[in-house]
Amino acid sequence: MGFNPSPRFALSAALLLALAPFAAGCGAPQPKFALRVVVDRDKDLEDHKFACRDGKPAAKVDDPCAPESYESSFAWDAADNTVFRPVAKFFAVDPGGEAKNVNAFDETPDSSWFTARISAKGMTPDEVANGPCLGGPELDPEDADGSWVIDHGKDNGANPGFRVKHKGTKYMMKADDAQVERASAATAIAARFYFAAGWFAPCDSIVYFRKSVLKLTPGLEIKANVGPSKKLDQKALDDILEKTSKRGDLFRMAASRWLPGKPLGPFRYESVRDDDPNDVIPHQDRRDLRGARVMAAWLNHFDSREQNSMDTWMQSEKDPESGHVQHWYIDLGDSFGSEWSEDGFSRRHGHSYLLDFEAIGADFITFGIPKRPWDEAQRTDGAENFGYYSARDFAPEDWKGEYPNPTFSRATEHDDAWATRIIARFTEAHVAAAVWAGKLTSDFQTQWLTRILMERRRLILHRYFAKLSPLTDPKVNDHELCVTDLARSTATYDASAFAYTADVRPIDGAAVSVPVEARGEGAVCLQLPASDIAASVPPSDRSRYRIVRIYNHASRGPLVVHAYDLGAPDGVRVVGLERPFH
Amino acid sequence: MMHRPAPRLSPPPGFGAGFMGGLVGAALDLTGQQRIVSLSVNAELTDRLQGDIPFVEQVTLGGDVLMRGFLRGRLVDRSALVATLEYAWPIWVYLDGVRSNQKRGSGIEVLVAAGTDPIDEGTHISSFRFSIGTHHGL
Repeated sequence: MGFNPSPRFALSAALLLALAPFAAGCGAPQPKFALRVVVDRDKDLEDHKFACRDGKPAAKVDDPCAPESYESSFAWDAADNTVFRPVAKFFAVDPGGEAKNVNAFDETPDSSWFTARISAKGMTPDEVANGPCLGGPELDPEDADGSWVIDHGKDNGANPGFRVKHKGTKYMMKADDAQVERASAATAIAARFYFAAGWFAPCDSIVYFRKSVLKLTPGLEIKANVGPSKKLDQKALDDILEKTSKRGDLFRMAASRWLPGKPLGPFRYESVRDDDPNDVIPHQDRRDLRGARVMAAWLNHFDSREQNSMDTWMQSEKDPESGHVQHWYIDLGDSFGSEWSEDGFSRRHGHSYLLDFEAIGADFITFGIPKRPWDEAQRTDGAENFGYYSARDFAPEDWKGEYPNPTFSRATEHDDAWATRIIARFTEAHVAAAVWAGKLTSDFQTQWLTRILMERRRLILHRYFAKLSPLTDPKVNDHELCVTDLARSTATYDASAFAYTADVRPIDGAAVSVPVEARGEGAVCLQLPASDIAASVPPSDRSRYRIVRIYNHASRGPLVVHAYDLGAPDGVRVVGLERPFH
Repeated sequence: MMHRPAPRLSPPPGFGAGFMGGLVGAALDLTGQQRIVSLSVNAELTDRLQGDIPFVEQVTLGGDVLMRGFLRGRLVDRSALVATLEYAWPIWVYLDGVRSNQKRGSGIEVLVAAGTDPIDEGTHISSFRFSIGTHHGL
């Protein structure tokens, strides 16, 4: 009986035969990273044309057409993120996933949100101390009487203040409260940490000044978070000065230099700005915003809600109709132990949300038997004005802000580890330099705050270097590959915990172990086996592809280096880094 | 839960009674962090001096006084002995935490209670209650 295939069978067989070569090709492993330059700059820093709306005339230099301003509701943002969003998201299939703005080196390209500074080029302690103020004007306490013209009240915010104008530059002056020197120091110090790390922060500096340097403009008002506006008259000004910190006859306030560009209101921690063509990555999927959770945890910037951010329209100097949106972190004065009138909240800052249903439920069903960090929170003798800020009970991964932040909530281990690699670059000298900018009267408090920051930094490094590899900064010299182990260079773990191994394999070959040499300052070097690939083989040919795995065995996962062996004279070129869990 | 005194009817002519009561209790903060266990014994007695005691003048439990969780007016007699074992712990700033101004906040209460027959009738457990509620203040 002969084989008599049906037409359908014949068609299927023909298709299989036709696809066979492609199937074979799919079976062969392909290079994960192409031979090309790693993207280190986002296009959102480029200016773009912005069409004026509503028949508005063409842009002027002093009044540019710009994306629409956004006004954030103080109460709604809290209610939405505390109650409505969690309920709405409960049944939503919305897995977080990894961040979108990550380049082949597991880093974020420089953008209008974040530009790597201390981790990319290194910074001196002086550069950290100057921070965002470098090169710009600052208030001089020796200025002439009446030269600081108060032209606006300080709207919203926990601490009172006013705006002054001096020699064409505006400064928002922020007063201290009952926590002597803390709020002003916090805004100056925290701004330097954020800026040195890479985020954009204002030039906030401490100024001690005479009352006579101020000149009040009549008829000013101050808008409060809630309630009616208040007059900013001489009595109100005297009240602000009476309550702020003092040194002798001088009044102490934080002077925040007005941000450049046209203010557009806060940025949001979700979605994108519809009228900004540069804004294409949903904010909740940005690594630089997700990783900011670790930075906020370090400083206990619990008030890290959208109201404490700002977008500005940076008009092009060449074309007034063009520009781009810049994103800022502002109002960092809650850092380092801000206290509220309700002691229970002050104790909980950083440990739980203001209204934390998970913590409430857990405490309820466990009869309060487990001890909570806020039960044992204590002020430090000699630094009582820094409230409950300490390294005691600081668990970086459990840190929480005032209320849920839709971006922080989506942070993955890779996002947190990214921020940790940046924080690891701050040495004690850098930290001390930033704290110095707070101009605290007490030397003890200056040293204490530096010590607490270093201890909290150690806890962050200890936690986030445990799972993903802290190896970074690949450098190649011919066939010698060196990386830096941030865990060893920062003495995060005991020296005996480090034991280096590595293997190298071509894309479809077996792995070969190679010796690894641990050098000073965390350097880890290995020699890649030289290949005998003919020079005629194209540079991007898969036969040149090498995959190197380096373990430090203090962390669970390896650093996986992807490279092309280009032969002499170009040597090896690294094209990608991965940090898997195993 | 608001405290609202029950309306009292005028006593009948020729009625006379004495009212006595006492409370003994102790409280202990187990951890020094507001995990407070307390035990109290409360006795109340209405003693007839002349005539019959109307029920509105007798000892009443339930409602927002002793034996919360029982409906007010269901437990009425000439005398009552109430033992209360209480454990209070903070679950939030305003929920049974002692606030910075030393005033008590609100509380979520889970009450488990059993009522017995009078002593002269054998003190058998005749009713059992489980209730959940809230209060504000002391």
